[in-house]
Amino acid sequence: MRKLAIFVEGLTEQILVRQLLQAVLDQNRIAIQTVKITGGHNVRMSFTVMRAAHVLSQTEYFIMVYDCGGESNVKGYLMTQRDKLVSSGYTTIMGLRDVYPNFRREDVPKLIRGLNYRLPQKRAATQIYLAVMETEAWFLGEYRHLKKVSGKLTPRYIESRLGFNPQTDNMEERDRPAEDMKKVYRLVGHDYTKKRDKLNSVVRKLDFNYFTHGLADRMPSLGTFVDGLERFLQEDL
Amino acid sequence: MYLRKFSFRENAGQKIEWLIDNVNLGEINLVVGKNSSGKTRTLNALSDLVSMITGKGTTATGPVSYEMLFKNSDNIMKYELAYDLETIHSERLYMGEELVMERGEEGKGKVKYEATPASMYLEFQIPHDQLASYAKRDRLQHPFMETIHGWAVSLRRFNFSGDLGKTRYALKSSFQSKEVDWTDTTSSLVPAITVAEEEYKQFHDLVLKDMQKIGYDLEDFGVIHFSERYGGSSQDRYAVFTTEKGLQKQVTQRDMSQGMFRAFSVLLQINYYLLCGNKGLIIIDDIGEGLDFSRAKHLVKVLISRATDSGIQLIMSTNDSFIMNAVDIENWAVIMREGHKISLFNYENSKEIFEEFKFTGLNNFDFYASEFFKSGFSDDEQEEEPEE
Repeated sequence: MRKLAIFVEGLTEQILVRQLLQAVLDQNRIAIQTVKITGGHNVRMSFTVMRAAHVLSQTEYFIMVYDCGGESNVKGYLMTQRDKLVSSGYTTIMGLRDVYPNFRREDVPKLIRGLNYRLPQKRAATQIYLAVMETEAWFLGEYRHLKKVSGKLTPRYIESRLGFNPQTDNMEERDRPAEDMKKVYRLVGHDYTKKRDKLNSVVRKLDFNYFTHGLADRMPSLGTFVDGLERFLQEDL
Repeated sequence: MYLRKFSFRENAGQKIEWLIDNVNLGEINLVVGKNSSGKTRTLNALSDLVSMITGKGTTATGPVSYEMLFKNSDNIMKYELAYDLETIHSERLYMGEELVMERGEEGKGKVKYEATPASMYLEFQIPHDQLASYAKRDRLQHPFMETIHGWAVSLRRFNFSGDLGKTRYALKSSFQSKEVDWTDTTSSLVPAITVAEEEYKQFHDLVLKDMQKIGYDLEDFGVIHFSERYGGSSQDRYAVFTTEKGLQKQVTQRDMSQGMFRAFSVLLQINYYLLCGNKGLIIIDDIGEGLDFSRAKHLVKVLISRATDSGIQLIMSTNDSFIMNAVDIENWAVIMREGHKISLFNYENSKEIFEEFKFTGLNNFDFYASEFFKSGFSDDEQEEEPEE
């Protein structure tokens, strides 16, 4: 069984990664455990299992998705946990965080370099990925799901009301995509919030086939992250 | 007036030499460093100088020299001093580029006279073991001497891992300001409370608000007659009490937790200091020691905000990671010792590295723990790890 650990900045990314992997792989081949990490430094680090994995005899991939409770914790937790994970047989370790709000678009190359600077690679390929500018850019890019929220939310309608077209424009070029998501939802009297139920409901509507193929080709930050997942899934046993 | 730079050398050329090399300081400074990196030694060097300038002598163990650079808006003042256990060897004071006081061996020197418009220098000879900056003070004739002396007398140093007055009591309940040595931050708080409440109506509320901001829900504090039933002292004593909101019980200083008392003592003394209009240097060693992480973090935020609003210079030292994470690294001063030499890295002298650090995605604590402050991103992109 191959093992992957992904350290993500928050609940949004944790739910996205879990549902994405469940959608692209047969349920019997994959076991996903989601965990919330808190503490560290002066306070004992604590791990709360949010959703336990069901490992079967035919499970091929075990994936641990850590919610780090903030973008600034992703690298720190990844670094402190890496040795233990490698000793437990994890062969790939990934990180995922947003660019906004602490960095600007022009900072992206420097941020990618800084986040990956001297990350150990021994016995487990390790890389931190960015969602430009926020994960919600990927949600907006998968514009087809918006019709499931309301038939009114066509790309043309959104463009006429909000000035951008999620079908023809690259949503990675939006500076505040989470704010854009809220505005889109408000057009039809809905809320987009970071609550677990809401996020589950939003992510459940995504077409992951389009997300990992057509959309990943159009949005470089999503494409790089999806490539990272594919590399793990295609590793030789 | 801010202390912008200082160098200190003790026992030059000997095996026990200490060198603090041209340390840059900002207005807010969080001095971080490993144990025995020289944090306390650096702060002691400042305290020793203040002790000398205020005529209280020195604890130096051999020849000592200082170079201090002060800044006040656009004005620069430089003070140089060299002495050993027996005598003052040299002392110089510059206002901008102008040398306004110079003394050498045997106490001989000259000082600028400013009581008349014409620029002139007076020669003097003072005892060889006295500082001219102390012996030649005169507000009319040499006002610059008052500037350096004023800086020294307004310095306060708090040792947050110490007692800060918790085990000290007063023998009476009322004091006058002139009876109190305000530079002694370890004495009973009873005199400070009685004087401050008499002089400033807002003092009481300011202290309560600051305590509330860091998570202590106090309703009142004051002075109370205090006797320990089985205590050895037969004298009447007075102590400090606090009362929590919703509780009528007055908790005396003896029964307050050490951490809470330290925070109370520092906030109380600093509030009085600010109300008196002081704008000097406040040093707090081991800030937050004994407090839980949340209160320690809030205490540091309150202190930084008060310092920023009032224009005082603040130097705090710590090796607590929560405090490090709570303070912007632009206000950090990372101290490092190599042998006898202490160096300090801060935003001013290592701007590029400090700017680059934010791109690593690490917490402030890692800036120090990973020693990123030493070289930032170096060119060798990936270090090969040895195969097992």
